[in-house]
Amino acid sequence: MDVTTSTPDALWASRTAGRLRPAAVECRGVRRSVAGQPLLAGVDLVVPVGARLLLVSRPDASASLLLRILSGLATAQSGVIRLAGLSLPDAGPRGWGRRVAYVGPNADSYPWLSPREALELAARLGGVETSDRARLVDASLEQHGLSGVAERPIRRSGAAVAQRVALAVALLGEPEVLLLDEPLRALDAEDRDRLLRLPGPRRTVLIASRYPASERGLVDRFVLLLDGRVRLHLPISKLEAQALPLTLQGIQALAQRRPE
Amino acid sequence: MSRFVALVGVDLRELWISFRLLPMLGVLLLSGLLPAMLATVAPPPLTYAVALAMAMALISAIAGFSLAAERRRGRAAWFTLRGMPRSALVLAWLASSAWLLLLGLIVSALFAWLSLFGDYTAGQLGVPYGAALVAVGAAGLATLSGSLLIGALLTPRLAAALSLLLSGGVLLAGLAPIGAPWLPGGGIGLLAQFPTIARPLASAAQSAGVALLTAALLLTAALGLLQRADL
Repeated sequence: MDVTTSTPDALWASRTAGRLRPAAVECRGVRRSVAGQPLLAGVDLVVPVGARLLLVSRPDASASLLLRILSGLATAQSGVIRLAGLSLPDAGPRGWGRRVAYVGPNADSYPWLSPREALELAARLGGVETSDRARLVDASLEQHGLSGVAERPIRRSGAAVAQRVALAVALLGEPEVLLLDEPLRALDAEDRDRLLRLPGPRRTVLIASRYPASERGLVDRFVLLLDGRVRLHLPISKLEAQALPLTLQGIQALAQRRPE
Repeated sequence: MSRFVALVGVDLRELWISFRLLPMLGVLLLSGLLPAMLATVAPPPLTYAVALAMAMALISAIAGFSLAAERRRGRAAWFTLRGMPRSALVLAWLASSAWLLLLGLIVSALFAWLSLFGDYTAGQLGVPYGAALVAVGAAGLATLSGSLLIGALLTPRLAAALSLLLSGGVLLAGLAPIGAPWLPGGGIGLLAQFPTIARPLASAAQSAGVALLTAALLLTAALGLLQRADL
């Protein structure tokens, strides 16, 4: 039996579930080339439920591409992908959209929408009942510091507000897996840190970043993708134990000290 | 269904805010006025047919541009992440553009009727005229579908340019004297020959059938392409 984050709480709390170590994200042999370059050359990755995982890659585009494939925005040429226990063909677009959320480096909603309209639209498309929508949207606006600009078109509020809205929209449906690709770069460090400290022990977060140091405190594991394959998948503590910094160079240095 | 309606509403609002909606309606209305304005220059039915073809080509180009822009700016991705099937994105643009096309075509046809056939009663020519317009509408659906296929593939400006050229070409090809009822743009040819067509209802049904079949094939291709594309 696949233990996923949809498993009832009683089973979830049991020792058995702990031993089974459910996986939020499973990739087996995922391959994808872009313009003839194999950015993903057989990625095997299992991310446990509740992990806060940092994805670092060389070339940079590999980590972003992996997140886009996991979110359903790009397709893998081969391989198996399961999120929260389901594959995309089994879950369908709506089921997938309920389980996984993605925030890219650019805020992509219509700039003439206000934050409130964007959240209401997202709630409507997500199937939230009309009676619950207003309450949910108000709570989200408050949580993400958008109450003061809720009625103003996003294009008049700047990139920082646009990115906050993108994160608020992503979290509206309480996704089980959250994929963040260079998120919230337009925000100041303190705000960014506060917003990305996402609650929920069962929520799994994958962050792709070219600036690993800025994710300190937000992640507990990291993956290094080198030339399209997983070279390292370790807890952050392993890096700290070797007195190496949380940078691409530090992670690569750790990789060199460990056999493949 | 409610989610699809929300998507169509967003598309229409995007057309309005980006100043594309008014030109889409405006060119159709203008095409209905041109026959009277240019009555001394060319036969009014031919003027109307050509003007309508150009207007519908422009509408198709805008639809293709809009889908391509939605892909390019990440909004198609935004909707996909909200659980909307990719096919719904194409169908929503088809629905919003077709709705505008229908609205504009009805008003344009009324204007043209007054200038072209004011001497006749509606009872004499109303049904054949309506049938020819149905064939024209079907041709419009075919060019819209083709433009959405192009929009699913190319960048916005390239999609608009190619859609304009191909849609205009397909529609104006309906003016060809031979084989016109078998072409997707055959409805344009019927309108140009009005009211002297030998078998208006049969010819209109034939043209509409070909146009709708073409639309179905092109739309299926567009849906398939977007399903595989990176957003």
